[in-house]
Amino acid sequence: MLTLDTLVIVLLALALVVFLGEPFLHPTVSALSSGEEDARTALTLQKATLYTAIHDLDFDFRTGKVDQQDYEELRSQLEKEAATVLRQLDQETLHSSSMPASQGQCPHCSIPLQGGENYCPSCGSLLLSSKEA
Amino acid sequence: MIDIGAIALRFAFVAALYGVFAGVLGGCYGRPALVRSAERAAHAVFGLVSIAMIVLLYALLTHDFRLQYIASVSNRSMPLFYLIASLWGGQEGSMMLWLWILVGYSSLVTLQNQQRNRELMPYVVATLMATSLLFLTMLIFAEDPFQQLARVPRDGQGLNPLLQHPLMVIHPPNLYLGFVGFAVPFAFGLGALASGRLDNQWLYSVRRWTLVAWLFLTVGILLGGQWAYVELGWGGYWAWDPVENASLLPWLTGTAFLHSVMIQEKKGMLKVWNMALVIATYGLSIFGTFLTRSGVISSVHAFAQSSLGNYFLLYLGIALAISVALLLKRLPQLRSDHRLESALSRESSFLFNNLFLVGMTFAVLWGTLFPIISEAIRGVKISVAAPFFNQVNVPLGLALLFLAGVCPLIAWRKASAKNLQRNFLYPFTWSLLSTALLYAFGIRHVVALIALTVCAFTFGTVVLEFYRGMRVRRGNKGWGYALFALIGRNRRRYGGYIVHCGVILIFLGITGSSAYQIEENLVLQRGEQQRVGHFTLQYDDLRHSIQATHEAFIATIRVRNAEKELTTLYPEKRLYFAQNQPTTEVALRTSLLEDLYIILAGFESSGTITLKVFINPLVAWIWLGGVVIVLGTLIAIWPERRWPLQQRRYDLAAPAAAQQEA
Repeated sequence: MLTLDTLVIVLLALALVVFLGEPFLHPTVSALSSGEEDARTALTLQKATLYTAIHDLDFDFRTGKVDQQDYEELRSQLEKEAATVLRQLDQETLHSSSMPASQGQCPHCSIPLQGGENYCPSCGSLLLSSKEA
Repeated sequence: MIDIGAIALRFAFVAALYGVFAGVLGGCYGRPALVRSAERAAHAVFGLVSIAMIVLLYALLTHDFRLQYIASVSNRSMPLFYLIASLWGGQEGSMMLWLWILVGYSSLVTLQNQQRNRELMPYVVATLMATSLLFLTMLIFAEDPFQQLARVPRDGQGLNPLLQHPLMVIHPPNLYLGFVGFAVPFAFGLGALASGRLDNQWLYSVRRWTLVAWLFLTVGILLGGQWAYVELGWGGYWAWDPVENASLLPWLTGTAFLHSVMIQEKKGMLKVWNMALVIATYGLSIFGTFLTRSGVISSVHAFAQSSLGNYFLLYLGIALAISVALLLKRLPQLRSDHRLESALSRESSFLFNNLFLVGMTFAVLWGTLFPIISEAIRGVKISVAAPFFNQVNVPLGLALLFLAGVCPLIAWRKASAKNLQRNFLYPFTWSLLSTALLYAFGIRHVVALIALTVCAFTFGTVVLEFYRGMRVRRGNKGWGYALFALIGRNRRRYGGYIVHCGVILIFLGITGSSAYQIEENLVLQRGEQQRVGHFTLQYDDLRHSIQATHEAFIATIRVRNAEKELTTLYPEKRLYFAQNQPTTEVALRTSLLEDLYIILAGFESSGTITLKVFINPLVAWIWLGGVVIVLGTLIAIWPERRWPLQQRRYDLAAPAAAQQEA
């Protein structure tokens, strides 16, 4: 007995299966994320935190919450930490810029690469040899 | 039509179950296709639950009394506004609303993070789907909104008259938007634990979600208090009722979390504590829902006795076990990056803030659970009422408020004691002055004096903060620009200060209405008048009226003060036909100074009436405070340009550069 309700239910079930199964028809080679991206994101986050801390400290000094001595002491500490992070970020960029072409394929669409490209000739995505993220 | 709704729920159950497994497996084994499929499951569940909601709503609007739920919460004579609201008037419907908000949030979070947090998202989706499964299970196997009646009644029972009030319509959705909102930070926390990505990335991702959830919960609690005040007619707005406490508990830990994340962001400390807090907040949200719905406690709020308790407890047990196991597994990686530089620092004051809030949480939890546990073990019903809660929470609350005043005076990392003393002086002097003034004006109530002093102090520090900040930001432009620039540069901080101002207003309102409430019982004959406080009340007439849904006895009370006629108030006693339940309609005259609150307690055939009259000072300030809190939170939530996105040149070697604002 094919009522309208039954029809709708069957269609719903089909739609569900198709919707959930579709990703399996387009397998991507890329992993969830590369280890390099992880390191770079973590360092960028650290940099942002340190910059904010310096900014806050400057403001606290100007609004009279920290005296001159403490201010200079704390600021030089933060500056040292920030310099370290910046150095590490630079190393990451250098490291990754010498890597991608040797992988031989685009991380997004997996076509083989010649090496030295900034953009994938097939899918157009930015390759890691360019500026830091 | 009904079948479609029921089937949609069952399909949603299957999709959610799939989402849990696909997410976990996809994350563990690094399978992007599986993860994308799990994310689609989140969207599918939202779509399916929406279909079920639409079906239910349609049945409600067309008075389809084949459905047991529709017949129990609505009837043909209800106005459209309350008809829609009756969707969440009963157990099944309100759980559907909870679920729909949850899966809506899940879908939104998934959408927001299509290109971000890729390592976390499999587990985030799995956690949110698992929570959905709890409610889907209960809605399918225990409290089915699509259950049909053997015999279709001609008319339904209608909504409980206590719920037929605009406040009652928006109070539950607000609360749910809050409770459910805390599932998202929890899901990200678990995602961070499961994936091992334990840096602060998950904190940044959930910052706005946490604020939004906290805001809705705050508004929901205040609306509930306002509804109790206006509708329940006992003269107050908070009774430390177990269900009220259930909503307060996640609010307390959520507030602690909002503050302690700042320490983790700035110093990489308290990582384990923050995880514990986010787990606790989520757990308390679920626990609160359990308390309200399981029939474990009797309260004006509580739904009828049900079998739901077991589902909730089992789920809570599993969720807590998994969370704690993951936390223990990652404990070595959750070490602090730094130590506290100084005991006198903003970080340490945040620590104290957390201690007080968690202390209050334990106190309220103990006071709420003790009667239940005592009854279960000893069979003796003890009630823990307002005095206990007030004794613990009033001092802690005042200590917190004081802390909110001291904290802005202290710098991050390390404050100089000399500077602190100097900065402390102004607000301290100002607060002493205000106390002296208040004393001179006749305020003698000790706790009220202390509370008002602390309020003055904290307000003073906030004003000072704004002033100092504006002075720095002004350069040679105007003060208006200075204010705008100040708030714009650091929305979280200054939005937070505005929220504190809202809290001060609430404290003022609570102090006024608690310490200086006047309560009187009057017996009046027709035409008689009596004085209460500085009001004169004249009883003119008692009318009897019959409406579609109820009959009412309405008294006409004319209100005067020494100089002139103020207003006429109409306290009522109603009897709703459908429920055969009498209710009181409070007559309220609100002003900034005080509320005049009149209840028609009783009447006789001779026309003599008994009135219960309250004068509640400063109650309006509580609701005003709520508005200010909303404003402050909106400012804090508003997107701020963040450092990494700005291409500012920052010269690290030259402190003098800080003098120039880019």
